[in-house]
This record gives sequence, structure tokens and C-alpha cells, in this order.
Amino acid sequence: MGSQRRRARARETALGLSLGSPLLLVILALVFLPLILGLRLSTQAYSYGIPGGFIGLHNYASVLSDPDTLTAAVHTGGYVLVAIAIELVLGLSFALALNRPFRGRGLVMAALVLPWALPSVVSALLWLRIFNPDNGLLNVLLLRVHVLSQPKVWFASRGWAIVFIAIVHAWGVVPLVTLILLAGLQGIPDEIYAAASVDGATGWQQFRMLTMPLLRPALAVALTTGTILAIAIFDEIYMLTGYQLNTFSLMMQAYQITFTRLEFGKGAAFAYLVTLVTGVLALGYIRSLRRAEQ
Amino acid sequence: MRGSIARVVTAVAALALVAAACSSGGSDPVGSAIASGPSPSIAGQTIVVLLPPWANVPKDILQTFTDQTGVKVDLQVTGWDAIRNKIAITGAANTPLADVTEFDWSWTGQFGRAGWYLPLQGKLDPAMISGLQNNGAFTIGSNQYAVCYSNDFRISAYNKKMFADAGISQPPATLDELTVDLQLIKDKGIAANPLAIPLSATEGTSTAWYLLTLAYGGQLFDPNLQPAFTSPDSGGYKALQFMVDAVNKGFVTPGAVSLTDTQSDNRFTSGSAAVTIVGGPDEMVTANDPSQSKIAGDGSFLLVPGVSGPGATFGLPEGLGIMSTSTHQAAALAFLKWWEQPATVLALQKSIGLLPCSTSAVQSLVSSGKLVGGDTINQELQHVAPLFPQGAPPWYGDFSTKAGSIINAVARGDLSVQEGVNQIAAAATQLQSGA
Amino acid sequence: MKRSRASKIVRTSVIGVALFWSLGPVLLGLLTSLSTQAEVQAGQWFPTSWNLSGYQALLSGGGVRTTNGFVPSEIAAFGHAMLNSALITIETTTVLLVLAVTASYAFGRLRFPGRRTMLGLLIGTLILPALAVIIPLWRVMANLHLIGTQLGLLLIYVSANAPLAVWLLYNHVRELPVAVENAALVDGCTKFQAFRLVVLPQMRGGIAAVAAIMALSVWGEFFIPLLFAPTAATKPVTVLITEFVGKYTTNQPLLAAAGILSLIPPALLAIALSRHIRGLISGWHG
Repeated sequence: MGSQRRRARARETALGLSLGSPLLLVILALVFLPLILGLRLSTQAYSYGIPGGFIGLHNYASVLSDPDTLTAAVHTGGYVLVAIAIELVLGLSFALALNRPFRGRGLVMAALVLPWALPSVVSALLWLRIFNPDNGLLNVLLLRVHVLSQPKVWFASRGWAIVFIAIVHAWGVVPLVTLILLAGLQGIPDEIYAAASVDGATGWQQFRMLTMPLLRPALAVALTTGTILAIAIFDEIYMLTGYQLNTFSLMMQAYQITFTRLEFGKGAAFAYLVTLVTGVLALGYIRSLRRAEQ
Repeated sequence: MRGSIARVVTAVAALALVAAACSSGGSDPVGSAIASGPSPSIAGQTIVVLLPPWANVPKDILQTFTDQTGVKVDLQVTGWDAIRNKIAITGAANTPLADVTEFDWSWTGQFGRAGWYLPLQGKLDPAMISGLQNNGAFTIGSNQYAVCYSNDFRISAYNKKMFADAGISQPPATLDELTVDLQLIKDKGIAANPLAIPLSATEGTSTAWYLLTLAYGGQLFDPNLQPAFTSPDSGGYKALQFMVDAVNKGFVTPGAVSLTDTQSDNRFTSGSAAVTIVGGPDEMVTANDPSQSKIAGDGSFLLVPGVSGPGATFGLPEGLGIMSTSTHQAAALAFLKWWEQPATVLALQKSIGLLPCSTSAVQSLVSSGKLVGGDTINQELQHVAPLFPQGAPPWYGDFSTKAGSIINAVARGDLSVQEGVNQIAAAATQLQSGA
Repeated sequence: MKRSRASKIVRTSVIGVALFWSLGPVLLGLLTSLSTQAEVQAGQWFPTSWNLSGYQALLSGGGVRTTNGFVPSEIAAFGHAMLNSALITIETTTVLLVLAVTASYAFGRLRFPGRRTMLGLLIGTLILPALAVIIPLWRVMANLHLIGTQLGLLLIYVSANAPLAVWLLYNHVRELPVAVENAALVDGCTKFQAFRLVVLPQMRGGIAAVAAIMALSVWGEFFIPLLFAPTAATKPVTVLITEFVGKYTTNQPLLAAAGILSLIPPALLAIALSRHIRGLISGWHG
């Protein structure tokens, strides 16, 4: 009896390892190996591409003591908050609306994912047509309905610039959040709702007591992915405002250090610090959602 | 899975090609009888050439190089920013990227000093080199890292019809005349915001400021690379003041603070602005094309206005460099020599509009009337000076980015002109000390 | 009855908002693609006459003629780039699904030492910005001679998208009822048979959703191919489109036309996959 169980255990271990390890090997070779090599890079001095040897943690210290880092972090915080709020509200509403089949659902789904598939250079061009201070759609409309008395230069003020850039970013990410949440909703077995209906639960009660708790893992994935993408915001800012003093983000700063100043070591250190912050935030989400679950 | 199939197919194809090349080399003596004589050591090699979209050499022109030398070219076209990033990454990782690449004038300090490019002095015909304009931009000390292939520089443009409508017969030659003319055009209601100048936090804005600095007779830096634009009588200060005045007087649209150089230029080609200060030498090709412009037929080049006559302007030449990691340096060198041949540069001008760097080639284009606005271009070329006579410093790119954001803040009214120039100077000093 | 009508109204209006939000800018793109450059620059919203030259140039492969005779040959490469995008998307999605579905089942349902660590390592890489590993990754790929190859791109895409795929599928497996699998095991199935015959069919809806997510994110990928797919042989459409941005002027109708055409395959994919996402018989609407 005991040996039979042990044999079954061994078989399960073998199956588990053979199913789980191929993907892990790819990740180890293409993510962890570069990651470790990159850690070494982050302790090297580089000045305009010329290596200057080992300097310990100096790169980290110089990133942390640079006032631009703090400004970039504040801007990035703004992008994350605005973008996540939009993504969660719209993503959850859209996913719930699409969860049950209806005529034309395929077409609506197709329409919904388009923003995500549009290459960023094209979407930047379109949004610039909307936000253009001279003849952009937004100004034309607001002037026509007399909300504005003269055209507004949207990217001139820090607050508006951050809000609008976050909207453009969220526009591209909402489809992903919607699909993640939809996948989560689809994973909730029908039987649970059937049982609840028999017990006389109303739609709202079912949503609050069944859907939301069961959707938590998907929400954790969506929140984490959304936050990671928002922290890494780059393309949208670069194309809408350039390296503007009141919009630059953490990733723009990292890019600037790496590719304009060619300080590869400092750039790597910067990227690792951003990774650290992202990691802490992601763990926080997962923890809090798990706690709520218990 | 498909990858491995593809590799097998490629390998088979490569074998077939080699076999074909061998047999033709053995039986066909024509290949080795060409005047320049394909060097037996490079014939049959393939070089990888990495260039931006505007230098996408047509296949038939590339074929003339292969005919001459027996060297095949794998031309890879990708965005300018992407080329820069790839050079930086491969440089840091010390791995090969390409044999010949785009080499922008502003990269000289960084990429040359980092040792990623092969010094070319002594390897090319000195007479050919001295016939090229702008070539100093690729030189640090005695080391030359690239040869110029695109003779880009800044030139202004104006709308003849708008000026005529305002009753102005002569195009402005000085910045003061320009100011008077703009006011007149604005007052007569011909254009509400008659000047197009980019003021967003982008590279194009810095370029506009550099150009105006030179136009005011100033320099960005003194020979020791100390900032020369902080005192109110300096060119740089006056240039920034001109930009702020343009905003305050309503010469530029309030929205200019979020327009990049091409978007700003659109105001000129859409007929909203009468003058654009910062344009390139092919500006009139688009401005006078009815499918791309609302002012077709009315656009004309304008010598960059200065203090008492035409002002100075600067070149933004692009060159071809050979990477140190290249394993086909002889073939790459042959490619550079081929490119600078008069027949090649004229063919490239005709097919993809690249303005040659060779002075004699430009002269022949102007005299044969093959260049749109050729006369003005030729005159403007006499005023072209390098922005950095000593070669672009390694911190140029970072400086340019910072300057663009600070000018943008001044134009938005967040900083005064004096605060602006002081901050730009502080940025320059900080960047230099870090280098 | 009353409640279901109210919920129907709510749902219809949410779908209306969704369509407006998603399609508004896309419609603007369609209008831009049918305008002339001069109309776009003047801020004219509706073209005076339909201008199809952008589409013609992209679809004929003949290039665009401008006044100085410039025929950008990269435009002829548009069809090729679309094909590149389609191939790498199909390859990556297939490989990813096979690896991620099996891995997620192993981590979610099987008990073996090290599974938590393995799962943690996999999902943990989700937080890495591409910039953190890009320079060393280039060196690794160059040493393997994989720069500019389809295989190289496939490997990077798999490693970049695997964490999200595994996380989603792992959560999915954990939510599915275990009773059916246990019944199959009692009936004498091996673990693998139970996975193949029972769990896999149960996962169909989730797999379809994850396939859609993976395919769409690979299709839209920009930064990775920008650096690792330098040649026309592997260059996807997202990267090619950025090359239409000129040095002095950008042909906006052409750029918009390319963007609109690049949307067709993902739209078709979304329609196809939405049929497979099994709907719920009784939803939260009651």
C-alpha cells in the first residue's frame, strides 16, 4: 500500500516536472541569465559608452540622489492612478456586459480589442488630431458647445497633460484588462449561479457575493498587469509631448540615461530600482486580494 | 519548428548561391575585367548596411556597386532612433551589428570616442574628402569616423502670395525686417499667426534655437565649450527672446508649445503661416506638391534672416561609418568609395532626393536646374557653418533634449528668458563635468 | 421581469459606451486614411472626396510616387511585413499555449516538490521592464546567432508572454471543479489521461481567452522586434509602420491606411475566438 502510494507520488512528480520545466528553462535562459548579467552591468561605470570599471553601488546611489528621479516618480504615480482607474472601471463594465452571449457579441468583441492592436505610432497620430490645440477635435467640439471660450493647449499644463496621456495609454490597455476579466468570468462555473438562483439571490447579490470574490484572482492579474504597463509608460509620452519637463516618466528617464547618455550601468541600476518598486506593488495587490479572500 | 525548416531552406539556398558564384567566377572572366578591378579578397563577400528610411537605396543603384566590386549588399532599413539604440546596445554588449551604418553628425562625440567606429583617415582619397562639405562634423582631433552622404542643413521658407497680399515686395533679409513683415501680415488679417516655429519639448525646438542663435551672429559655446548664451547681448539670449516675443506678439499660435517641427511645418504647408524659420533643403518639394500642401506654387525658400543681412545657418550632415566589429572592413571601405563617386551621388539625388555633400556635385545639379529652389539652396550653402567646429561633444544629445524642455518651459511662461538661458547653461556645465 | 429589463438597458448602454470608446478614434483613423495630406494638415475632418491612394500604394506593392520621384521600396514590403506578423503571432501563440497549458496544469493540479518555486520564478518575471534585460539579452541572443531570426524572435516572445499566460491559466485551472477529474482517476485514468481527456476540454473557454490575449499582444509588440528583428525577413508590421514617418514630413493618410489594414487580422481573430468563449447559461443578471 505504502510503496504503491510512493510510486504514484513519484509518477506525479515526474509528470509535474516534465510538464512544468520546459517553459521554465526558456525563462531561465532568456530572462534570468540576462537579469544576472545585467546586475553585474549595474555595478559598472560607463561614461558616454566608455566602460570605467567596477564602482559598486554608486550607480544606485546616483540614481536615488538625482532630483529628476523623484519628479519622474511623481509623474509616473499620476499616470498609474489615472490609467488604473479608467482601466478597472471600463474593463470590468465591458467584461460583465460581454459575459453572456448575445447577437453580435463577436463583432462587439472585435471592436473592443482594436485599440490594443493599433500600432502606437498610428494611435499617437490619431490622438494628436484630437488634442491638436489649433484644429483638434476636442477643442473644436468644446468651443462649439461653449465650454471653452478660446482653444486650450492641452499638453501645456502638467495636470491635463498627465490626465490625457494616461487616457491615451488606458485606451490601449482596456482591451487587455477586459479580456483578462472576461477570462476570469468564464472560469466561474455556471452551477454556482444556478444554485444561488435556486436560493433566491438577486442579480446584485450574486454579483457582490459570488462574482466579485470569484473574480479576485483575475482582478489581481488585471491590476498587476495594468500597473506594470502604466509604470513602464513610454511610447505615449514620447509621441505626444516628447521629453517635456512636466510629463517625463521613470521609463523615459531610464531610456534617457541608457540611450542618450550611454550610461549603461546607471541605466541598468535605474531599471532594477523600478523593477523593485513594481515588485513591491504587485506583491501588495496579490496579498491584499488574497487577504480579502480569506 | 518553422524556424528550423527555414534554416534548412536557407542553408540549401546559400549552398546553391555559393555554387553558382563559384561556377560563374570560374568561367566568366568579365567579372574581373572591370576598370576598378574587384579585389579578389573582397569579391563574393556580403556586407550588412544599416540605414534610415530616407537613405533606402534602390536595388538597381546598389547593383552597380556589386557589379563594380563583386560585393553583395544586405541593406537593412530601420528608423533613425532604432539605429541609434541598436548601435548603443551592440556597443555595450560588444557584439557585431552591421558593417556600415548611418552615422549622424551628432553621434561623433559619443560613438567615435567609444571606439565603436573605424577611423577612416588615410584610407580614403584625400581629394575626395576635401571636396565634401561638412566633413569636419565627423572628426575629433585627427580621427575621422564617417564620410558625409546627406547634405542636410537648415533653411527658411516663406509664402510668396501672403507676402504679396500684404503689399510686401521683397522677402525679409534680416530678423528685424522679418518682425515688421510678420506684424503687417498679422494686422492685415492675412494670417492670424503668421510664423511657424516649433516650441514643444522636442529636438526640433532646440534646433530652432540653435539656428536663431547663429542667425543673431552668436555661438552656442566658446572654443573651450563654455556656454556663450547667458548674457543679454549674446546670440543665444536674443534667440530665446525672439521665440518668446513671437509667442507674446501672437506671431506663433499659442498651440506651438505642443507642436513638433513637422507639425509646426504643417502650419506652413496648410496655409496658416506665412514663414517657417527652420526647414530642410527638400522643403519646397512637399510645399509645392498639391497632394501634400494647400499652398502649392506659393512656397519659396528664404535665406535664413540675420542681423544685417542673411544670417549663419548650420549643417546636420549624415555620414556612413564602418563599425569596429565589422569583419569585412575592406569591402565596407569599397562601399564608401563607391557611394561618393559622382555617378552614384547624382543617381541617388535623382531617385531618393539625397542632396550630395560633394560641392562639385551640388554645383552641377544647380547649373543643370535639377534642384528645386537650387539657386537659394546654393546661396544658403555659403552660410552653412558647423554647430560645433570642434565636433559634437559626447553630451550633445542629452544637452539637446534638456535645452528643448527648458525652451518649452520658457515659451509656456514658466520661466523667464534669463532663467531659461541660465538653466540651459547649468545643464551644459553639469553634463560636461559628468563626462 | 422588471429587473431583467433594467439590466438589459444597463448592458446595452455599457456596450454603447464600449463601442464609442473603442471605435471613435479608429473611425477617425479611417477618415484620415481616406483624406489627402493637405486636408489632414488643415484639420478637415471629412475628406472632400475619397482618396484611396494610401491603400492602393500599400496593397499594390508598387510604392508611392511623390514629386521628386521618391519610390520608398519599404512600402512594397507592407504585405511581407503583414505576413511576418501573422507567422510569428501564430507560431508564438501555438508554442506558448502548449507550454503554458501543460505547465499551468502541473502547477495547479499536481503535487511535486519545487512547484511553488517554479511557479513563483515564472510569474515573478512579469514585473521586469524590458529595459532591465535588453543589453544582456542582446549578448545572449547574439552568442546563439539568433538575432534577426524567426526562432530568436519566437523564443523572446515566448519568454516575454509566458508569465501572464501561466498566471491566467493557473488561476483558471484552480477555479475549475476537481470532481470530474477525480472521478476519471477513480475510473482508472492516469493523471496525464485525466488531463488530456477531462481537464483540457474543461479549460476550452479559458484557453480561447488566453490565446486571444497572447495573439493580440504578440501582434502589437513593438519594442522587442524593433531591436531584435532588424531585417525585412522578420520585421513585423508594427515596426515597418514607424518607418513611414518621414524625416521632414509624414504622409498621414498613408500611415493611417497602414494602421487600419493592420487592424483587420486581429479583428478577425477576435470574432473567431469569441465564438469559442462559452457563454454562461445563467449569468449574474438573474
